[in-house]
Amino acid sequence: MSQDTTMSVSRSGWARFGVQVRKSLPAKVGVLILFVLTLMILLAPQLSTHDPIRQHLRHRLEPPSADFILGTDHLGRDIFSRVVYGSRISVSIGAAGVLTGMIIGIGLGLLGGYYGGNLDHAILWLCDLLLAFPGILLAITIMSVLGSGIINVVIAIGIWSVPTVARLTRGQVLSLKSAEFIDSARAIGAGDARILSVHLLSNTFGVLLVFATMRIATAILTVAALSFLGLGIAPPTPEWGSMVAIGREYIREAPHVITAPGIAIFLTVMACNFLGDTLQDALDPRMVGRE
Amino acid sequence: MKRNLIVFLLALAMVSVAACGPADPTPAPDVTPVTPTDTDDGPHRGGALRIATPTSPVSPDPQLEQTNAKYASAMTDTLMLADADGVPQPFLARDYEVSEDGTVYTFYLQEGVIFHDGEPFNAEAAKFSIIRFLDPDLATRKEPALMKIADIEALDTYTLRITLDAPDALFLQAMSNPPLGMVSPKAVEELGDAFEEAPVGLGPYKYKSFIPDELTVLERFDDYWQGTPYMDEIHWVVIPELTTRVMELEMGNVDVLAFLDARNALALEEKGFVMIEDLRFANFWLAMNLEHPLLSDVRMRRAMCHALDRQLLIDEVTYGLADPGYAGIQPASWAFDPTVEVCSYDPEKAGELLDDMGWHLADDGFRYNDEGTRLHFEWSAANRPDNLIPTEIAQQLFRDVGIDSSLTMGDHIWRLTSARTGDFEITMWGLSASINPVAQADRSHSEFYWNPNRHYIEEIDDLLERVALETDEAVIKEMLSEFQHLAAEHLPIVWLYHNSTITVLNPRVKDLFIDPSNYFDFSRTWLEQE
Repeated sequence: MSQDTTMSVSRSGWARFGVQVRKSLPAKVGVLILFVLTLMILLAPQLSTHDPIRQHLRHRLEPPSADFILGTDHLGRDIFSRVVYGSRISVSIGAAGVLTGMIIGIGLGLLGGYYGGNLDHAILWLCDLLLAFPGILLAITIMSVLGSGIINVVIAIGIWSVPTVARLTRGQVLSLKSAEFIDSARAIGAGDARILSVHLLSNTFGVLLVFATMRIATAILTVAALSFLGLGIAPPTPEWGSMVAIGREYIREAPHVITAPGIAIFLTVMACNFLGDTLQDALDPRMVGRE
Repeated sequence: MKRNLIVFLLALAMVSVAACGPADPTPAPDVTPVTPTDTDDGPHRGGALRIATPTSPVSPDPQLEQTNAKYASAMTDTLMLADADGVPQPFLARDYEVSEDGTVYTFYLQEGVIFHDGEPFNAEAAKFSIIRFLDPDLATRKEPALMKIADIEALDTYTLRITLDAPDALFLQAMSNPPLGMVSPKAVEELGDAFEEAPVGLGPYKYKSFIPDELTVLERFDDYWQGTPYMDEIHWVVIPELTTRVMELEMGNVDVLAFLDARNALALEEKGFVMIEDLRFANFWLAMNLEHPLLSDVRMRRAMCHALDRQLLIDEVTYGLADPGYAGIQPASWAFDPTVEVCSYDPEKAGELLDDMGWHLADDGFRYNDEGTRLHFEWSAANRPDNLIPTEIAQQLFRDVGIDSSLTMGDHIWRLTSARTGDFEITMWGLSASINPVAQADRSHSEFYWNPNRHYIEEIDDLLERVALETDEAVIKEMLSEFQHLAAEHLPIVWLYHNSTITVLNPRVKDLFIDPSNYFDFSRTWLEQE
């Protein structure tokens, strides 16, 4: 019975999401941008016109032309190809970081909320400790300790996401664990592991999905900010944040260097936020009557 | 309305990323108007010279100046002073004598010189200042030649005798380095540690205020022994961001940018600013950790040397404002030996050497040994364009001959630490100018204070130790020629180029003299009426 309830809520949630997307212009824009972004990520080798790390020093800082659609950077690298390949790095690191944080945070939130007691206190204490740092500061601190590199950026984003996810999950678990369907599951002999993984986790999914969509946007910005500060992805790997950082040096003589990756970051973050808002509206039961 | 909103959001997104950069505290200094003196075309009194710097000194104490921040030469003077050719000339010492064996120096000091606190300058004060500078507990930059000082004696009020353990061709040059300037013994004794916060020297400008990471102000010392300086004050304004420093110069908010990169300097020169290029004595080299098993093999170093196109680096990084590096002696020096054969740009030769060593080119464009290990090195790079750009170009040049390399970035302290502890493989380093060829060559000595390569070539060390004891120019030239051949043969360092150290001034700044070691002489500097 509980499973049926969950699935029907999910089905109606997704249906409402579809309606919301059709009704709302920002949501349409968000979906379109993310569709194009996905194409860029999947078809980067086909879309790019040059090797993104190959230098053409005799063509440095050239404005957009037929040869170089978005111009070249300070080492004569094709900016269009770098933006296309950069989407893979920026988005995948942001997503992987959030996923890492979700996995750890959900685990901690489920355990703390379900079992309570000292375990819950310890998890809450850890979350409070991590939340005491502003997000970017925490990421910078972690990167300073671990050093630059793709894996370390993922870890930094992950650790930064853990406390929020854990608290969110814990809150959901606390409100659900005394619900009738949990008692019913227990009555028919379901163990803790099944209750946690099937019944509680599936019912927190909607909230966490909205959070993840929104958090990917901030994570992409954080990756860009870390690379901008020289703590993220080392050159010559194309990454939007480091492209903005380099472009800043040439902003007056070659503004095209900073413009393309800047717009890419802006559009991606905006699309994620639009989509997150739409998801939130669709999955929030309180919105049902307002459609 | 919607369009406006989108434009606003676009701007907001750009700003949000750009805002992650360091903040630019650019307090506009109070500028006293320049007032004309007797004539309208000659030097004018008044005004404040504003120098923009990326970082603040740790302390305004001139003896603690580490990075040529330029305030030591404003706040105090030395016994010797480098002339336009970099040759030390008598200064606070009006004359000097050297014993025949080159170990005893007798300095005859200027009379009538007073410190900023009114105390007289004499042999005792000079002795006190030098002993303070040599104090191991004081973080001063002690040139190796100074460590040979065995005894300092005040023979009378204005005669100072310094005895060395052994002769040293670089001793007088070390005595002319501005941080070894005179400080008031009375102030040091009375203030103790607090002296570092309110130092007292005898230079043309005296200490006024110091706000770390923000502003250092010196004011005119009316009783300066060479005549009253023209300007009221000198301000060192900390502006971390390069682009902001350049813009502040263009807007007239600062007057001087030191250590500027060639790209910005040339652009500013086109706009009517004054670019001062020195004699190209700075060094830029590929530092390889010779303790690394692959890099300890001279064939690998030679292959990497052949892979690097010096002229390309000079054209693209320094915009042509550099001379190629050969074997540790700058082409502009009288001791340069043009007959020395240094590994020139030759990718084919680099490939042959790597093949000989068992690193063969595979289909993916990289080289592998018989065990299937890819030839790979890790760069450590500073997160600054002047280091990143040559590193990235070299990365591609290495890739062209099949050497794979990745890059780890960090701040200056991290690079210094990893170089000191040997926790790096390859990196690009630069060092400021030294015009004396013996000092240039000394940078290849294993015990030179900065040896990130961790090289030790006994023949080179022995030769350099013998050169340091010589004073005859012809003999020195011959020995340095031998040194250059040895350096080209053993390649402890791959010298890339010798670049200019560039200063750019607002044209209103007049008579600012810059010596070949890039120290500023502010004593006659004046500001044109705006």
